[in-house]
Amino acid sequence: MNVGLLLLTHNDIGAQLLLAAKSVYGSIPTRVEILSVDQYDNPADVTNLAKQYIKVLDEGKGVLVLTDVYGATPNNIANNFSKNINVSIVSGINLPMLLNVFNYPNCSLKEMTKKAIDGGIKSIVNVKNVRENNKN
Amino acid sequence: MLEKIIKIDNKLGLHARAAAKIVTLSSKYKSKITIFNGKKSADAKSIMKILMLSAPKGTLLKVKASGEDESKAIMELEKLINSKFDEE
Repeated sequence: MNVGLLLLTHNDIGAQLLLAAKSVYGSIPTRVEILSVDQYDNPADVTNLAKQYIKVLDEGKGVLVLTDVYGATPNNIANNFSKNINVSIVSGINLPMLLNVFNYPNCSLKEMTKKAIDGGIKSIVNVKNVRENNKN
Repeated sequence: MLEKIIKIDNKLGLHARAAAKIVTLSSKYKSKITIFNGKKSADAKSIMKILMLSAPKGTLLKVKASGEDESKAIMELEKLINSKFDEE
């Protein structure tokens, strides 16, 4: 039993990131569902779908919802579940965030939330600066 | 504690899939495993830390393991890296 993962993003961002993560690991150790939102979607309908996905994904350890832009519609939809203690929401999804989450599939919702944020933030690097530092 | 110098010899170096294989293998062992690329070091069970080593082809890595299964862990990691991560 692992924390479930819901990727709630604009268009195909979630699906494409999951595809890339799968090609890195070979397989995915966590149950994942994807919900994409585009400009034609009715937010109320997507909220309803998200509610059902979260219910299915929660096998007892909770659900981590990853969204892209804080304040944008996918994140605002996820925000409807912020009072649910079994749901954690992190915005700013990127591939390193996803890779770090899949690195620790057995951890608790609280730990996985921290892993998502760590992975997402720490991989943002000014590559030229790192190269210069390595030379010194 | 055991340590070994291992050369990265596959074309793409320590890229994402290779790093994931190191993490998957290292996570099977109880030992603490650390990989060094010069002054930089990384927990072998963390994919982000390994990727931050940024080790291209030709890099000499030092692998250190300490714990009850350290010798098996080092041996299997050496086998994985020397097999060029089964990708060539």
